[in-house]
Amino acid sequence: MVRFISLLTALLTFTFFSSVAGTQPDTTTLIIVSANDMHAKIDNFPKLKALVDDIRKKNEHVLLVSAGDMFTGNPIVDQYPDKGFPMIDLMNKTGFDLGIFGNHEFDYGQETLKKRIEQATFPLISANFKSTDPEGIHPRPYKIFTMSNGLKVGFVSVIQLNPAGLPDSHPSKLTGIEFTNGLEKIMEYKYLRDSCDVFVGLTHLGFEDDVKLAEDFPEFDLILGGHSHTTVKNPVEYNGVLVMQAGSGLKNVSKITVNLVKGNVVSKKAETFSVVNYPDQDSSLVKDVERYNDNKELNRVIGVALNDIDGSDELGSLMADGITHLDEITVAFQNAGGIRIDKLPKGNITIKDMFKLDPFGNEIILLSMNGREIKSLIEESFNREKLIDLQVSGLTYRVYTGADGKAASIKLYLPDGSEADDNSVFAVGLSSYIVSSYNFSHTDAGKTLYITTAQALINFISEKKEIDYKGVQRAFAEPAR
Amino acid sequence: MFPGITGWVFIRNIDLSLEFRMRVYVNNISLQVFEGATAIDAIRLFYTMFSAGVAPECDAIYDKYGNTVEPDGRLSPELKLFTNKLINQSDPW
Repeated sequence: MVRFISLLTALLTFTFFSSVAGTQPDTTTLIIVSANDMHAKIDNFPKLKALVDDIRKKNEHVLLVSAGDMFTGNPIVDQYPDKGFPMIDLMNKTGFDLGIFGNHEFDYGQETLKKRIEQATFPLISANFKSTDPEGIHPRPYKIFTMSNGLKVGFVSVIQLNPAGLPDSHPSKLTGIEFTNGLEKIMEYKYLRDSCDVFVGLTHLGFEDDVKLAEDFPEFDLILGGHSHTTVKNPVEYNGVLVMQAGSGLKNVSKITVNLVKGNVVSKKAETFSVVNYPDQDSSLVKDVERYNDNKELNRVIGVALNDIDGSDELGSLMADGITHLDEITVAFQNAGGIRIDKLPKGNITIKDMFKLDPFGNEIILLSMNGREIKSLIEESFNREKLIDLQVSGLTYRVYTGADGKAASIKLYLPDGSEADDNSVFAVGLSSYIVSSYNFSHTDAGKTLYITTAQALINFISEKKEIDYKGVQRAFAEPAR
Repeated sequence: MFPGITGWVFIRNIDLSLEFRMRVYVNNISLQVFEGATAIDAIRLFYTMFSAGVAPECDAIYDKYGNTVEPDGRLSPELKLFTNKLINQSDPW
């Protein structure tokens, strides 16, 4: 009996250790955490680091990646002396393994971007652009990580292009770079499937194009995307490819769990993981974020007001002048609702003052409009409250009201005082809010210049140095005779 | 969703004969937005065109897959967006 028990014990022990020795090396769990479209929102980095550190404590094979648009969207980062550096610093400290180029990576200009790339401790990849300048930006198209157990995880990246064939950034920031269609270019990298145990498309295309990509590229196990700021509620495989995206502003991240047996993917699970609601935060990064949020650069004086700039006529004229300061634009309008302070006092003007005056982040839209269309815009704006709503730059205008108080006729005047013809065509700059929220005639749908009205104003005052809008009035209303 | 309206509609002040470089759909209604527009621009335009007032900033925006889309998400041509509030209104205009 004793001998039988001894044999049984040995057999069970052998079976147990055989089992452990036999399955352990062949079974792997890989975790990929993907953040997309962080847009310089730094406040949640302490929580992200705590979250990722916790995942790394519990899992051996973890990769943290960014699916593009690290930059643009927070004055603290965008106006930092080294534009964008706080993001790179915090991403380095959080332990990002890989990033890709989104359209907003180009917003600070290529020289600045090159510096940020050099400062990053993680590579940035893209397969569908390269600089024509040998000293320019030449990203590698893909990156293959070899994990500690030999597991190979490959990433290839492409960036979205708009109908003009460029990423959504101001064209002046993209000179000297050749872009090719991402959905076509990425097909050249199907061969990497054979070199990877897990193959990932890390894209900045938008969710709908990611689904299209999945249909054409079943070699991918996953597509982790960005650009459309989509929060995937119920993760779904398209053509066998799991497609994920996690909103924007670092409120969420995508957490992907991939299980492999003998190098073959046997299961994929995706979750949208809330960063905002994560209970812990990294104390060291809390201090870093506090330091960055106390950005002295926002107190930098960019110009001087020689007199108080008071009321919507003066402030609106100033803001519209900021828009016409752009080379592309000759006429601009500023709506009263977009003027958020009553007065800019005489004296120094800081960057912070400009964000108080114009906090919305609206972009400038360029439209080709004739005089008749401009009058239709003014009519729509005036008739809302039977008051002057739009302040103007590059023209003046006079509204003649009827008995009902509404606009009966409108006259436009050029800077030389002559009346503008209805058929004359102007390059008009409007905020994205006006274009979408005012019902006016325009045959040109317009295009964004990828610069905010606030940034244009900062650039304008920085160049002018001294401004005086005392008594400026460019829009008038009076009863028709 | 909107009975009888599934494709093109004539909208005051918009020249539908133009080439639609950035055509998107909100609640299955075709809209021409400016190049580089975001989701909130399309929603605002939708509300403006149908005199449904100012688009509430908190209105949830969805894509055709049922995912939520942040207001500042960039649009691509032919994208389909939906908003809950108008879907539930029987006659938004």
